[in-house]
Amino acid sequence: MSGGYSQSDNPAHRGQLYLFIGIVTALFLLLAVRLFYFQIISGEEFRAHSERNRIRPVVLEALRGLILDRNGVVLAENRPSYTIAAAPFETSDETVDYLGELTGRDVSAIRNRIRDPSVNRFNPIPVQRDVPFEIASRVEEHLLELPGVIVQITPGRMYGKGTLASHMLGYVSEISRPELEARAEEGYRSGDIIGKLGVEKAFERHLRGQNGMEFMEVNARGEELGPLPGMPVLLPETGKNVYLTLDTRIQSVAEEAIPDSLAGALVAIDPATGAVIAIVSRPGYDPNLFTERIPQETWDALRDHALRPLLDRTRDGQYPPASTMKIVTASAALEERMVTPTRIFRSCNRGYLFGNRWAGCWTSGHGAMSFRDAMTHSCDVYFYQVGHLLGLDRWGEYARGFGFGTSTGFDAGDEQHGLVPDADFYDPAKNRPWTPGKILNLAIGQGELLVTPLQMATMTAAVANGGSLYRPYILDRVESAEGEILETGEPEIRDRLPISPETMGLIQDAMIAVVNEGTARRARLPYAQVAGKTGTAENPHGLDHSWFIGYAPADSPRIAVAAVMENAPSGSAVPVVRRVIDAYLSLDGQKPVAGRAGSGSGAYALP
Amino acid sequence: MEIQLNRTLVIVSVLLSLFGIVVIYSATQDETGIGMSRYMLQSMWFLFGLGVMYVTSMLPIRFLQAITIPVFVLTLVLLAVVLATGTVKGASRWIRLGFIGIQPSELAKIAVILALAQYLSQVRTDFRRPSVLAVCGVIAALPVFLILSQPDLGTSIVFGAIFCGILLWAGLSVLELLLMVSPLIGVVIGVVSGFNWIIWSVFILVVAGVMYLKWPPRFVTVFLIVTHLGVGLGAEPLWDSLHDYQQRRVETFLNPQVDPKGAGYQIIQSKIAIGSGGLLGRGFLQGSQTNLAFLPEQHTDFIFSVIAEEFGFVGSMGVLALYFIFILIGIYIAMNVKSRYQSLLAAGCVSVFTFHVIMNVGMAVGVLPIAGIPLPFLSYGGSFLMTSLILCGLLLNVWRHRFDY
Repeated sequence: MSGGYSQSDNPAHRGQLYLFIGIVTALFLLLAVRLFYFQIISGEEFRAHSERNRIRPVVLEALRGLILDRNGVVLAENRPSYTIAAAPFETSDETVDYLGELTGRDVSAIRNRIRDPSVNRFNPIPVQRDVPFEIASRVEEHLLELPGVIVQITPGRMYGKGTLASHMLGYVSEISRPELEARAEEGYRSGDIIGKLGVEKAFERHLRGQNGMEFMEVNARGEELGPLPGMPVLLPETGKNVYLTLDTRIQSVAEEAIPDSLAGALVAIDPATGAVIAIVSRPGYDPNLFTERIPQETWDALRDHALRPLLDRTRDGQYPPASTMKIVTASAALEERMVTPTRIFRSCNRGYLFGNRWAGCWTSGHGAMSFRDAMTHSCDVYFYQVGHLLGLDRWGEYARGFGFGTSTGFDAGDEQHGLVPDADFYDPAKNRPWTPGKILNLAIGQGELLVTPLQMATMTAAVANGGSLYRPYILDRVESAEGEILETGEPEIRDRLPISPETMGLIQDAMIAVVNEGTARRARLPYAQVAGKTGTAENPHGLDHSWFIGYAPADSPRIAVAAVMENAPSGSAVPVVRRVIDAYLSLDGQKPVAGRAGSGSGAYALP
Repeated sequence: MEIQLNRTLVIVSVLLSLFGIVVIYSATQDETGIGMSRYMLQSMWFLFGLGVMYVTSMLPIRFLQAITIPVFVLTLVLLAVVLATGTVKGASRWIRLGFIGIQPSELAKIAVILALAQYLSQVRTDFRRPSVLAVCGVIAALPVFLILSQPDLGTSIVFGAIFCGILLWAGLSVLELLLMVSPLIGVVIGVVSGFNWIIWSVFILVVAGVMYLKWPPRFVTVFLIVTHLGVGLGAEPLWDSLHDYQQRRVETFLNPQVDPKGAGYQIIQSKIAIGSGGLLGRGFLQGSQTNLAFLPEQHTDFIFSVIAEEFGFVGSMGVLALYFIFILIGIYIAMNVKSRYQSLLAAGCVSVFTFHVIMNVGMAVGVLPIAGIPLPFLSYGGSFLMTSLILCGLLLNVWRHRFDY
């Protein structure tokens, strides 16, 4: 050894030895005494605990957070409901059969649930939720013959406004097997409730509470004797309340403005922030249907309904934008200096001969037109020529620059991206050959081009606010059950429209002219200047779709709206948007009080 | 005597490990997991560990001393790597090497024992030489700091046990040691008492009394006064600046009753399991608390409860007796080797075993807080089984080479 100590330097003196042995012996004696006490002296008591009686950990389900609108109007809340649960370990097959008999539920469904190897065998898991009172009390009466089964009162979901904003709110339902596997880490168990669609799904992490647990002592016959003495009850924690940017009053005006006979969508956005004021897909459905076990007939009726009420048209509906796209085509042409505000193109004589193809205009001939006239009257011939000058690539750049063909970044979950075709898209091998005439169609928003109403509203808001493409959002704030604000939705500018302020000004002026003297005169309001653009999408499968996008007041926009009505006459969307804008500006204090009487927007009730 | 001692150590450790595998089988029998069952994994670790233990027992002393600094540095690097990569919840204690994961904090236990033994064998340990205490403090504190950051409070206090054990064996008196760590005790008292200044003042009076009795050198006196003043003034604002969850974590550790969701439940279940074992136990595979899976972590931290339930007072006392014999042999070895280095090495190993056994069983019977300290040889887990067998190998090594100095 290299150190200063070499031989017989063992540091331990007798003192150390006695100290060590003393400490170790004392500690071991302490443990031995403790074991003697537990196992010999008070062993009987403990043995009774664990032998005669079992301990059953019963999950206490947490209340889910509320969903409210921006003013605190409750859109989704909790109601008490009966749930039948069974502890797999204690529940025999005979019990399952008897339970099926009593509840009228398929025995194999119950068996599959509780014989699933992945569930905790000692926690009772829900086998049937939202049981009607009669069945719950029938089971309750026979509990003694159903060892392992319990009837619990658990929170159920209730959407108090019925079909209002049904697609946006979504609904909750029992967790599915794939969801359970994907989210195993998050503590979900079989039979739990989870948000399936819309806000319920997108903000599940906020809304979901934390389940508690109670330890019940159960005798050999499966009767609950009461809570285990000395064992604390772990109280469930209520989920957080989610406030949406929606305004229920505007939402209901918008929903009522769309006739029941029509399918359509409308999205209203605050152009200064991107906050969604109203988001409507019609027809709607009652989300309350999904929180219980939905009867097969009801499900079939919803699924097979001609107007497809289950489709969320605001995000998943993809339509050709038709003439509303002329805003993009015109912006591109102005920005690329291909047209000047005064340049007159070949006159519109019911159409336009391109090569050997005749491309028609929508009306009987507009004559020679300037840019502003062409926008105001939505002359196709003018835009055919502009589109031809631009070419596919440059036109596509602007279309994408206005937010089409990509996700808007909406905070409430998935959405369709629409389609802005590019050169790669046109591939003869995929039976989509490119012909030079295609750009004519795209320039007027037809052809393969597809957009969603949400994208359209985002774009409208960007034009309204002078060029900021906001990420649309619906989460206003998250509050704890005690009212503490935990998170707020923040406006976020995703991009700038790729055009100069001069071009922006020309487009805005043209949109004002569209309302004042053009195709959207029905959108005019007496007290505020509305700007907008109509569109009529040719629909190869049936009647045309009618678009209108608009914002108001034109000089300091408060609301931007995009609406599409399926299979509806040209211009059908205009009065719908007008009513929404009117209702919002009235609430916003923009509308003179005297103008209220007799206005068409009285369909909503102020709270 | 020489042969029998080593043989007894090997027999005890093998008995405990085999018994562990049997109990792990019982505790995990209705796990419907994928892959190899736990008792099989533990068996493989055990066979591998036996080989490592044998190799460890044969290594020349010079070799042990030569690898001390590299092992110590490697340990720190691995701990830093764990910290840097450990972003996944719960995975921050592990380094994955292919299909196996290792816990560098286990390697750190061995490294600190080697380093402290080596350093203290070359200097005279004296309370009047503060530099020695400072170096020892740094050797133990470096890995503790990294392990605390993981954060793994339970494992880091094992190093306190190693530190205190080796220093006591090296000649420090209990009062001197208590004086040195008294600022730390002050912090704990502060947190537990909710920064009650009366209790803290009483504590300071006691410290002052001990100082008067031991009359430490001026340097130590100044150090103690400064640190105690620092604790007295700074602990409360520092505590308040911690996040709620950080405070809760510390409070839960010091007093598990504040967290009924986890610790309180475990303690009650463990007590019922142990109590229901009675004199002779319920028999192998018959423990209802265990087999009902009410007892959490039963194959790792609460394996003693399984033994007590299934094998009764006789079984649990038998296990305790085996540990007691093992530790006494360790102390005997530390006492009866000639070289200071080997003696300190043995004392370090004994400290780890003693600490783990007392903490774990104390936790199972509800007298000590739940700290996630596993039982040597018995608890499920490859890393700590390896550590236990290597430490046992070091004891064998010391005894084998007791005349080589």
